[in-house]
Amino acid sequence: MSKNAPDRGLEYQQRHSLLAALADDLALPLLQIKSTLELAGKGNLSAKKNLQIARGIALSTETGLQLIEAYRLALRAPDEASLPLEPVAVGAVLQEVAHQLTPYASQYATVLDVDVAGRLTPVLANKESLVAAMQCLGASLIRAQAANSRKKSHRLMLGAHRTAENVIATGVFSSVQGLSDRALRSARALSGKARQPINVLPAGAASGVLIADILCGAMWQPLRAAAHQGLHGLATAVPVSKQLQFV
Amino acid sequence: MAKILVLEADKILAGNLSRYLRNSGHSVTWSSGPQEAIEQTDKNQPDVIVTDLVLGEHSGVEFLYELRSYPEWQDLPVIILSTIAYNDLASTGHSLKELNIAEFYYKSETSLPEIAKAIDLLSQPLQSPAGLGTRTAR
Repeated sequence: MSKNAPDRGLEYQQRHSLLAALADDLALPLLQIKSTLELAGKGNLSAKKNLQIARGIALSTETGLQLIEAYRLALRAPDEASLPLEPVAVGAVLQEVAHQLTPYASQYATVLDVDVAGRLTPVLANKESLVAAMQCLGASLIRAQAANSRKKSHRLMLGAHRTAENVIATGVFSSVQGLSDRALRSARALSGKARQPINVLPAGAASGVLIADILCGAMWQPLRAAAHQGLHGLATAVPVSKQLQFV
Repeated sequence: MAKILVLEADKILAGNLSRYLRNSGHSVTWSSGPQEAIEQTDKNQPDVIVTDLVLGEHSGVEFLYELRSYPEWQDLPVIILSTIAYNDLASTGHSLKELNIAEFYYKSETSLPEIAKAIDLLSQPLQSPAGLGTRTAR
């Protein structure tokens, strides 16, 4: 079925927002690499310091590349047919994402926990997109939490649980009050769904949430504010129709 | 040596800038949010503040309005090191007029040595440049 003109306009607007979000988000790791190299060029550094700098640059590069990959997936996301769904264990995905994000989180003095409440049935998802969405969301909230909290160390939780409506909710949760609301508002502002004069999140954080929002929305439900183990965060909901039931 | 307050939301960028300025002989304090920055300004009496406009909790513009509302800090030199280009500021609905900004730098086009040089100039009152200098997106 061909799309009508307003739909095409919306799609164009969303693609434009995504590209702007990518530019915003990609600027941060590039600026980190640039300033790290300028610092390294200032004087003679010990071998240990050089190794530390190389690790920092590698992490920033990896973050940038993950973001580009997530952007590619988000561009394809509205066309659900291009995102083949397969049975996925949410808990295993969260563990994988936590493992990948841990070195990045430690740069921001953040400890990542994974908490899956109870035994959750496998769900139908595009695993690549789910991993990318949780990575983007996690990395964004790591940066946002570090910027919004005055504590010296931070904790972030990747969690999943079944709600009273039998829906599986999974996302990233923080102890900083109001952070998830601000993050989602800033992300939606990037796609023109809300207005906000100057972003109140550090560079790139809102764009990562926007990309995660699009990926989750294409597979299941867009991100929304949720609570898990007394923490507040952003989560997507897996509708019952996409939960696999064992007979 | 000047006392510098760096107000930057990203820990890695703040760490690199702070280390560079310390290696240049300055004393540096870092704040990630505006409220903490106001308290640090009160406590440490910095000679120069370097701030981004995109911060946690509140924007850098809100921080600057609060800073300038105190008589003793109305002439405290402020350098903006922004993730938003100067030409794009208008679209955010914000203006830096009346905020007495010494220099405006766009992060993507500015190096750490340039910031250090600007701080050196500003911390020598007799040689400080007059008015608002800007380095904006080409």
